[in-house]
Amino acid sequence: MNCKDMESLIHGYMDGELDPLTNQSVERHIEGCTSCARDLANFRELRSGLRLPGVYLHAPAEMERRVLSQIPHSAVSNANRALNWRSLLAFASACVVLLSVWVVGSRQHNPNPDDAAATEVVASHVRSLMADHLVDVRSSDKHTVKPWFAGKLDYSPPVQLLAGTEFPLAGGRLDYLDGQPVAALVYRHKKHTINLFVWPQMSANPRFETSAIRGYNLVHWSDHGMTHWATSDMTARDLLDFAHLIRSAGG
Amino acid sequence: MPRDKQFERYKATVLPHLDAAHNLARWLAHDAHDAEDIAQEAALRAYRFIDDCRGSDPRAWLLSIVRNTAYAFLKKRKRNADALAEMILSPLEAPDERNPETLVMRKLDAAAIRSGLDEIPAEYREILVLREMEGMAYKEISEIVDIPIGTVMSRLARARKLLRAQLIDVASGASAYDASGKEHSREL
Repeated sequence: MNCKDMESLIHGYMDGELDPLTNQSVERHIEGCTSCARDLANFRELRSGLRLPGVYLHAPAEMERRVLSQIPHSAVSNANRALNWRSLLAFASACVVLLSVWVVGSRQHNPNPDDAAATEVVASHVRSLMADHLVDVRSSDKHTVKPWFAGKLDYSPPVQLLAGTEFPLAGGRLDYLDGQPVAALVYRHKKHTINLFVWPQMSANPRFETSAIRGYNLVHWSDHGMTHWATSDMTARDLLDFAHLIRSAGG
Repeated sequence: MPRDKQFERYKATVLPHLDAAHNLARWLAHDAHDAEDIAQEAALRAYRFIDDCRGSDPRAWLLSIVRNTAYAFLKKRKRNADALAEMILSPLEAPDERNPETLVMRKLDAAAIRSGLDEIPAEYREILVLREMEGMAYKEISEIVDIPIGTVMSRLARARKLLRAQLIDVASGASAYDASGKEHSREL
């Protein structure tokens, strides 16, 4: 073991992260090398420095109270809040439905915003296949994929496993669509890859809308406050089967 | 989960780590007000997604939310947008390659450490906060920062070198300061 090896191993050593064997060889090297021994002493000194009082910046005393004041925790206020929130949501979706009927009725010749979304979805799909960046979290386990998104997104995307079907979950990825970070769930079907993009949207149109762009098929629907876009190069028929499975698994 | 149960769980698992949340936020954001906003927003997100915390260490889980919140916040602010991008994306060259015999660290006090830490890029700052202040294992750090464990070790190596470089009486310092530590007169 030479000083070059020590450059990072010395850190594993002082952090107690090495296996016993490596640990021993590092120890032996340090005993015979003044320069590495000095490094180790330096880094240990830095550690004590970083642990001096006044370096750790504690939360102000009133922060806990401020956080708690924004959390609805009494049973009563929860019931009210849930009720209000639900009726608000219902009202909002009714408005959106009315509005979209009006918009569709009055602006048939304008480009549909969904067309732009569809183009973006296909572009993301193609990018994910080309850049070899299909999944950030590789797993067929819902309880791995779903928590992975926590903190990366300000919503919790529904993740359906589809175990035992022809469309097993392969993993998840963070993508960027519609001007916001979104969840991309990746499924496999034989040799094909399906990207399912999910993000919150207030519109409720559980009907499947199919389209095709540059040889890629798309299915789009919205339910439970989430909009879904599935895209793949497999047949429209298969993609629709997939969408049915996802929608019914979501309840 | 029923709401009151959710609340009890939150109080028991997340609230004890508000200090850790604030400390990380503060070291990422520099600014005290921003840090409070970030820590508070992260704490509220943690409440909404507390179901997702199952099976992971609550402090590590909360800190990963803080970290994401902080980076999203800083990006959104676009305050010093270019400086930020540079800080996060391009690691500095370690100015540490001088003759090792000249590396003598200054006497370390909290103020010196704080200003040294403030000078190094965010990706190195955060890893020192997690390792030295929170005492986290490489595995926990690798989950929070989303990098392999081996990268945790090499990034720590660089971080400690960068911090040390901020805290040594450098050779060039000898020309700016005389032996008594007084600054030379700039008059010629």
